[in-house]
Amino acid sequence: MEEPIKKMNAEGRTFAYHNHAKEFIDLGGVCAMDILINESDKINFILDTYWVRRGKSDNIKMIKRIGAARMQNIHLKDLSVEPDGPECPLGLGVIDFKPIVALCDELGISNALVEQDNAALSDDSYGQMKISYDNMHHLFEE
Amino acid sequence: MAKFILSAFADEAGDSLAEQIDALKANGIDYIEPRNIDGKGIIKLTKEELEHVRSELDKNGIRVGSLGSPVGKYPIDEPFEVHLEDFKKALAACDILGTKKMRMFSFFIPEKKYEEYRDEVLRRLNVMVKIANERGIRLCHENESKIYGEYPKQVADLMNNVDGLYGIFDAANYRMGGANVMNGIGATLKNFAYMHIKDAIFDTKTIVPAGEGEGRVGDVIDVINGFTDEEVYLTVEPHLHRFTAYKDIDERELKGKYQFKNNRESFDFAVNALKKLLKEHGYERNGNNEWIK
Repeated sequence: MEEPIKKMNAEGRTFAYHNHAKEFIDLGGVCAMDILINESDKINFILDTYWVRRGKSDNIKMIKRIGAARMQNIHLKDLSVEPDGPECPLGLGVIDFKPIVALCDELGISNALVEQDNAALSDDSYGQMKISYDNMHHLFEE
Repeated sequence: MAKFILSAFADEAGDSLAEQIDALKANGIDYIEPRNIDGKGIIKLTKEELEHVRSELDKNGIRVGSLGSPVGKYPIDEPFEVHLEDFKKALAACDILGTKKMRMFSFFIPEKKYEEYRDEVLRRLNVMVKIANERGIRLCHENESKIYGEYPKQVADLMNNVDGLYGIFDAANYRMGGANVMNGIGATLKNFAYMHIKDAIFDTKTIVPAGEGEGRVGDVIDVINGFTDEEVYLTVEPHLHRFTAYKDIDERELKGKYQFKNNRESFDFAVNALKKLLKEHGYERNGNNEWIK
């Protein structure tokens, strides 16, 4: 992956990897996320909180491991308590965003983006976005 | 895995303390959430009356899980200071009755103007949590119609932004407002206290026994079971039959699909519905009167 990343960097662009859950599958004492973090310093990350949790990993530990130097953006996405674990508006699922937001703030990870893929399927897409927006707004203002 | 402990608003079985104790014992319930005794609100009782209640409960091996206080059930535009007096009476009642938990609400909000009143709601709750914490008492917010914390979004806001406030989950109250109960429990789990047991059907605005409505009560219990290893009260709040103090709780007409001869019959029915639901979801009662899976 490093060759194309070097070309991107040469043009002033940053490459950032967005995880799903499969990067946390145990490959015998190591997972793909370990390899991406440890075996190259060229790869930046856009951590997705929902997929970290779906991968049964810990968002706080992952943010600390990657650090602000390699993560400028984080996707704040919540995981519903429903048995099949769909996405849901921020604040209404199992992920506790308060310490995540506080840590991002402390480390200087400056861009937090709310993402909820299934909001588009809702009868009230705007309402779903508004819940996330207001809850994120309240988390950052405290 | 949680240890679920049955508790109840026994004032829905009978007005007198003796009737309430009898209903609890007959149903094998060791905990009460006292709300009214002899038709009198729990914070209206004198110190002597509360001491008598404690003594009778002790004699019968019944403990107060949480105080069923009406604290915070008043319009947000009424002066805070006046209501703080009632709050302090409720704290004193917790001490006398030997509980460290108090059920309370986040104030009636005119015309759903949540954003307009948010700062004042948070200010009041922060003051109250501080006072309660100094006495070692945990404030437990119940989601309820017409208050700030009626919907999951606002409950998430309270759980995230009022440090030290805990959340009671009530499936029926969410469904009466049309909310998604899974979003409700998701929001409440940030600082979860315990659960009230009643169920509801949104379209007909009907309260029904646990498991017969849209509140997904059994599924929610399973979610909680996967979330904590602590003791969790399941407080039965039947609302199936008009009881003396109901007019003080909810002005709406109480409608039900079942007809009961009296309050005790509806209370027993509600408790049995919960036990049936617990069994259906694979829970069994152990020797400590806890329901576990």
